[in-house]
Amino acid sequence: MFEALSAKLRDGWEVELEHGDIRDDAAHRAMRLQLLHLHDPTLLAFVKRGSTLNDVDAIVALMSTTTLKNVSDADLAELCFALGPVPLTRIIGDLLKQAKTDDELEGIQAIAFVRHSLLSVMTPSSSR
Amino acid sequence: MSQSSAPLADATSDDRDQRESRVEIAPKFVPTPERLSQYLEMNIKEVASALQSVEGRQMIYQKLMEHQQALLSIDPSFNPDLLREQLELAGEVLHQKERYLQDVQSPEKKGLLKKAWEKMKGFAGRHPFVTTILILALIAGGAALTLYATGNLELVAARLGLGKMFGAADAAGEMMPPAPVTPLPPGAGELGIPPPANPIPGAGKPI
Repeated sequence: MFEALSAKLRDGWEVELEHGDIRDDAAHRAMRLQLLHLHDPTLLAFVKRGSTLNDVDAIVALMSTTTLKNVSDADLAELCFALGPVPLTRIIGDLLKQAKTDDELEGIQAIAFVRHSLLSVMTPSSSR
Repeated sequence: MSQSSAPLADATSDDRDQRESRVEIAPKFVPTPERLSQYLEMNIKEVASALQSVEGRQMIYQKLMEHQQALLSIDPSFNPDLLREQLELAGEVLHQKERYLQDVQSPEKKGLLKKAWEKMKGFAGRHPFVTTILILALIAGGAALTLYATGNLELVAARLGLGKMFGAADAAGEMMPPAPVTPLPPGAGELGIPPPANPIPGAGKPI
């Protein structure tokens, strides 16, 4: 996927492959969600506001105007754990297909850093 | 409870085909540290630690089984065999989470991850990562439970530009938990849910 980018954009970047056999089934995803703890006031206010909305248009409008700008690092880490490495891989793949600038690649790199940590704890030791 | 979902390819910005929003969410007993702490009146850290050892899980299992009838009244689908599996799963995931949080907060990685978090926080609204994280937060908080159970959360994802990604991932069951989760356990506190007055009759003897 990275090779599909222009030579100019690829210049200066190196690709490191992830290894390991990830077992991430529905039961694990559900349990991770149950173990999620949010404390950030910004996120809690967002969730509280979301809980008052029952239709698609209203939720879309709320989400369209919400960013992660003031969210705490701790809550972002919690949410990334609950999400897991597979959806992050989907997002990385989706973003790579559209990347046109170094800034966008830096964003992908940031997500990949977090995914690497997730993979390191979720890969059975025998397959690492 | 039934769960319907429209093909994401059919979901457009003009889609007003929102499904019936009234669904019944059956209560489930999920052995999270918060919930176990509440039901067994043990310290949360002690419970979390116990969940990560075979002996600890056995102790928790035995204590819970002393209150099987009470648990059945809370969760009619309560099953002792399933409880054992859930306790093992909770222990495994807790262990993974502890290692992950230690890793991202380790002195060697803290600087690198700090930059990564800042980069993520700078993503614009409707960025795929932002949208995915916000959907997850809504589900976790129980705010989107009805939307999720009726499949309308997929419409939200589609309207925010994640239709293709969610569609492909959900076909493989990869993107989000496959069933509506129960809201965070009563007493967890983070979302302001008050604890029940008396979780399990007779529970709470010191260990």
